[in-house]
Amino acid sequence: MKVLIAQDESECSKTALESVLSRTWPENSQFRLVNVHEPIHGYDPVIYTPHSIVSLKEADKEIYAAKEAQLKKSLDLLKAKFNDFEVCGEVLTGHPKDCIIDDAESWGADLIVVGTHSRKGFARAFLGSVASEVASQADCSVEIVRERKH
Amino acid sequence: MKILVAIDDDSLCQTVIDFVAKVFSHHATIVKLLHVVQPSSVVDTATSLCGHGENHQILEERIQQASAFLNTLRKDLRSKMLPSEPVEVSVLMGTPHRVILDCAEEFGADLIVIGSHGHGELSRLKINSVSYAVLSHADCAVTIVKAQQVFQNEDASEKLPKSARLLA
Repeated sequence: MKVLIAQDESECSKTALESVLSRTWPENSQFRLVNVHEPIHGYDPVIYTPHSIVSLKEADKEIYAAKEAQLKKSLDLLKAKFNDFEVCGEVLTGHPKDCIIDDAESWGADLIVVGTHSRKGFARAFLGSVASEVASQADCSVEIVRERKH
Repeated sequence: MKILVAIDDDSLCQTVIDFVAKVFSHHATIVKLLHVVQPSSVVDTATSLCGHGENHQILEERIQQASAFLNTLRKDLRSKMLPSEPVEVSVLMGTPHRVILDCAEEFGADLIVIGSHGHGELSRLKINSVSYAVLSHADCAVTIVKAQQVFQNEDASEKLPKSARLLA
């Protein structure tokens, strides 16, 4: 069983990781953690001065570093809990939905686990867009984990 | 962990059962298999003109068929899961996504598992409307099992009987 966990900074992706950690998985399972970094686009010279482009690029780097730190922390959690299983992870750069689907395909995932917000009332009709796109476009099975209700 | 498995009466149900068996074979679970019989409005109108008896009979037959079908799946699933774990069976009537959501709430499901064929090559979407409605409105986690699901680490000899079973 190859399980790909998509992660970002949201609460719901923490819930998704916890949900994976809380289960007993079949023997020879493998886990892969993916955190997608979406670079800041639109370095338009008309809008941005050369100075602000530099600060945007710096912000980009900071976000990337934060993602790597978060990934490492989560990987440590996974490795500690699933010491019998193979665990790997990577920060990818690109559009989240495309990166997750392509990575799942190339790695050969059986299941993608992705978190989504749990909203009430009218807003609830709109599933998180990455979660819903992954669910509708991936070839393998997809588990959508919801943020716990309080 | 409580899992509600929504079963449609097509070939995908075996894929869904195999998926549940594989993923939760080592985890303590209470599984409920649910099939929703949707009364056909055409039959309803036609039979209400010539009396209620026939309509009732048709539905009764469909419910019985579904129960028998779910019981076979239940046996199959139980043989693949931890022997101590119960598998419940339920056939209900109504609009599929509504019934699935209500049933999940009543059952206290932690997870809803549902199969999805999608719309084939013409559309990018690999998910059907019932699955999408369940996914959007459920309060718990939802797993969409795709028709394309093939377990990567199984070897070819294991895959053959599976596809043969799907065709049967």
